[in-house]
Amino acid sequence: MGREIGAGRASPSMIRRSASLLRRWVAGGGKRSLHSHLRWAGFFFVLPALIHLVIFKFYPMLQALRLSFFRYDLMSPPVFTGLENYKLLWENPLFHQSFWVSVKYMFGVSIPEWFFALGLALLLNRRMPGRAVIRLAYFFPIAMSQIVVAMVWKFMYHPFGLVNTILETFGVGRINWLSMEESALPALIAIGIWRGIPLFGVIYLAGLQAIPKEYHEAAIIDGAGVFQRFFYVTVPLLLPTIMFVMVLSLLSAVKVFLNPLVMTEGGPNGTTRVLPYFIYETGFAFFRMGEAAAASMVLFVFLFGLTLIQLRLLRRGGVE
Amino acid sequence: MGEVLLEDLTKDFGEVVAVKEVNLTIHDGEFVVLLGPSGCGKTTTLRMIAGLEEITSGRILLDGRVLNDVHPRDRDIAMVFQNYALYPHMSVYKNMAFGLKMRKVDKGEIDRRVKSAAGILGIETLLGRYPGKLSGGQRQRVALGRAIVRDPRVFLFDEPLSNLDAKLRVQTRVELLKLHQHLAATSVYVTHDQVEAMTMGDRIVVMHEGVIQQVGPPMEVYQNPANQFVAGFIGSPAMNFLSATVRAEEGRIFLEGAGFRVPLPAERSGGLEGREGGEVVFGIRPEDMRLDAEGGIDGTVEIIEPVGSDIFLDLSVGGASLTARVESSVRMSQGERVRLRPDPARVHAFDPATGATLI
Amino acid sequence: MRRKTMLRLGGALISLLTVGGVVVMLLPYFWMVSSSIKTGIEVFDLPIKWIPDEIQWVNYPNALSKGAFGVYFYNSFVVAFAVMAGNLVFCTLAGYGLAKFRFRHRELCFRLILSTLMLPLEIVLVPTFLVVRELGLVNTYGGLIAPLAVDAFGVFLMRQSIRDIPDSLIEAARMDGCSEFGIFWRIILPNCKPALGALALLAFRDNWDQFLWPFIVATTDDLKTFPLGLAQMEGIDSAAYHEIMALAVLGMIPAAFIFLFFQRAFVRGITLTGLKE
Repeated sequence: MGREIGAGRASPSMIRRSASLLRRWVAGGGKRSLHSHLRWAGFFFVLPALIHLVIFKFYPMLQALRLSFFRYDLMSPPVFTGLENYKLLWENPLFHQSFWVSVKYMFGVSIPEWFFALGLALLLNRRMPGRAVIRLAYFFPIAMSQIVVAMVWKFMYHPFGLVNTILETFGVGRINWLSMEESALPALIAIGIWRGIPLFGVIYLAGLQAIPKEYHEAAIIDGAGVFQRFFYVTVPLLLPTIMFVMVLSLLSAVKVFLNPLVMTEGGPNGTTRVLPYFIYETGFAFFRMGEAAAASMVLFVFLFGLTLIQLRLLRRGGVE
Repeated sequence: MGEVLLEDLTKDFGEVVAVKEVNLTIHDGEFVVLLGPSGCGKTTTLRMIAGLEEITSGRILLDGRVLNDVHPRDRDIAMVFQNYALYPHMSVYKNMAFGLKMRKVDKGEIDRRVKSAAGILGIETLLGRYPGKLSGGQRQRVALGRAIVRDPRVFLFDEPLSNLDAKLRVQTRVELLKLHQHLAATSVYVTHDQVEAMTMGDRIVVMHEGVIQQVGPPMEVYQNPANQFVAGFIGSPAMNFLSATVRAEEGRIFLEGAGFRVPLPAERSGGLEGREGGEVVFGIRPEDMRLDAEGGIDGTVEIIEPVGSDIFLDLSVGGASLTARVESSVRMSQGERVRLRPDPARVHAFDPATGATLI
Repeated sequence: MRRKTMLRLGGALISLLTVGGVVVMLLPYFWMVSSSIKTGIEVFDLPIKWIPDEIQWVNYPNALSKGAFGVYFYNSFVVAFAVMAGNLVFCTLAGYGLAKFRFRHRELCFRLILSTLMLPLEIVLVPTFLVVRELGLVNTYGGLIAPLAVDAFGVFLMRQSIRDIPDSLIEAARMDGCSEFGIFWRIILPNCKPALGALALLAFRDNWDQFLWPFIVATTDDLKTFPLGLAQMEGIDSAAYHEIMALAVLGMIPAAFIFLFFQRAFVRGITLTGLKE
């Protein structure tokens, strides 16, 4: 491992060759002039970010792919085992469980978020006294740290915590939310939703405000009611934002890791062991790096497929 | 000095040729207007002179120096943009000083030049303000000021008046002209407004589909258009075009069509030689006709448009429509039949296939 | 008449909903603050006393003494500010290049960058760790910061925002004699402040917050960040809710401060992004 990066010395001819390759890649057959200079300038502005992503995203991704065919425990040298890791995953009931926990968490969090956040944005887009203060109150939680959220909610879910206290006034008995198999995942999902609404609300609000007033006025003149305006004006014009929120909410829900770790430790009985947690555990608790990498690949393929489907829908929706 | 030479200047955007083999000499101190409908290549030409657009082929020279590969900042050319392009985060003073500051001009000199330009433009009191707080006319002046302080060899104007309201536009037009007389710098001005072009240009360059149609002083372009496009584009209301047949009778040439028969004086009919019996396009401007019971054009009044100083008559002539300008004292009613006599010296004829001017 | 009553009723309902929403969103934080100034026994007292009879400020020093929290806070600040700076610089540069220049494969570059949204650290955890190890950055600030310094969402945000700056401003500056980097520095940056504010806020929040990565790459106590410290203290003394809440309040303060500082820019920045394609 390790020979790919930083090791070995590049020969002058190699540098020259790659320079000419790069030139062709960026500027095409462009002449040396201001405008080819501008093409270069544009490329150089993008280059630092690109290099960073190659080193810290694409290269690791390729490494993960490679590693997923090896047995590796960080200590002894990696051993090629072919598809062994994938086979192990396939036969591991914990992996299956993890996968479904992740899927449940992902959709359980993001689907309600789409609707609640849109509702919030519609609410905040109305004229009302004290709107600025109310907006501030809703957006403030965006700034809150995950760890603070995790700690507060662990306390909230305590058998004698605020959640149970409030429920008790409605006649519901005290529940030990985080240590029961039926309630642990829903409890975490509720936090996810609660946490995601403000940010997606801001994004929706931005989208709503980008819709020119004239469309609504024209619709009013055409005799459209509140609901008709919502479905025939707001929703179609908001479609790019809606798609964006969908993609972003799914991608951020699938990353959840901290809450299961500090609130439930993946339990009880693995009912909250999401895939990132599984990957972490396999790699850094059991030092089965190859298997962890294979799990990463599965998760990536899943995400990739999901994003493709969404993009397809996006295009069918007439948005690019 | 500031003599600009365009040689076979061509620009294509992939498939589309925006500017095609433009050849033009702009003399030192001259005010040249590039005129044409949108998409005719006038703005692209201007942007190539500025260095903002890549040149596909051909050359641009300023005082003998080839500019093709010279960076815009090193061309000694200043430009006034259509939307003024004032830096929103800088005060008027800083906007005007920016170009000099970038050129490392001494601070005292910058101050002197900015104040003097502000004095010329009457914007001394605005120097501390930000563009967002200025009216359209004020922004326009600041944009001008930013160009003036640079003291460039060439000024470029990209439709600078198009964002102003009608009244302000007329006023600013006059001021721009005065400014040009004061600075006597070479100016290239792009517009689609023919009134601006006529009133401002020492010479007008009419462009259409990337090709120069005609270059000349405003009145010459107006009176002797090089082709039907120029004839139709310049003048408001536009020149009338009617299809006609050339007739030769008793040694005289007539243009004849449905509802009209116009005799041509012998000295003007040379261009129609050999076309007897053939089709041409007969062109006559609204202002080049007068009411005359003996006139060769027979029309029915359809719409009467009094504009104060004159009256425009929309007539039906043999099924085609024709606009004529008559004096405001004339009393006329709808449906009335009238006869008009065209000024024989102002009759035009064009080749129906190529649009080339015949007479 | 009936219609009017209905409308008024609807309005009241919506107002109620709005206020109810605020309570749901903020109540946990109030409870957190309230609990942080109670004794360990009072926190579970019923009925809830939002302000205790005697305010227990002592919880704060007591909680802080249960770990090297000075170090943890310091580390969190270093990571959050460094990552924020990296994001502001690299994402804005890339956003400008993608928004305002034409070069071959520009769209490909943009798509490549966006595609990394699908490669969060949680997914490439193992190989990223291995890369950082190869670079010899395990247990260093560099290792904590470097993998997070560019974020595709930030690039997207800045590109969208910079696209709204008129081209003519850039061209005017070019004719005024500004260098290409000068244009970026003097013209572009001052004109995308709201988006920069939004980016700064999100970057700060996400990295003040950073848990997983430090958890993996910082194993020594002197490199732990605040979330790690808090989780660790909670793991040892999980019943000391009053003190945990005190620490949570302290952890909330920097992000809250940044939010109040940037909130106008934040909302405007997101708004300006407009998500137009």
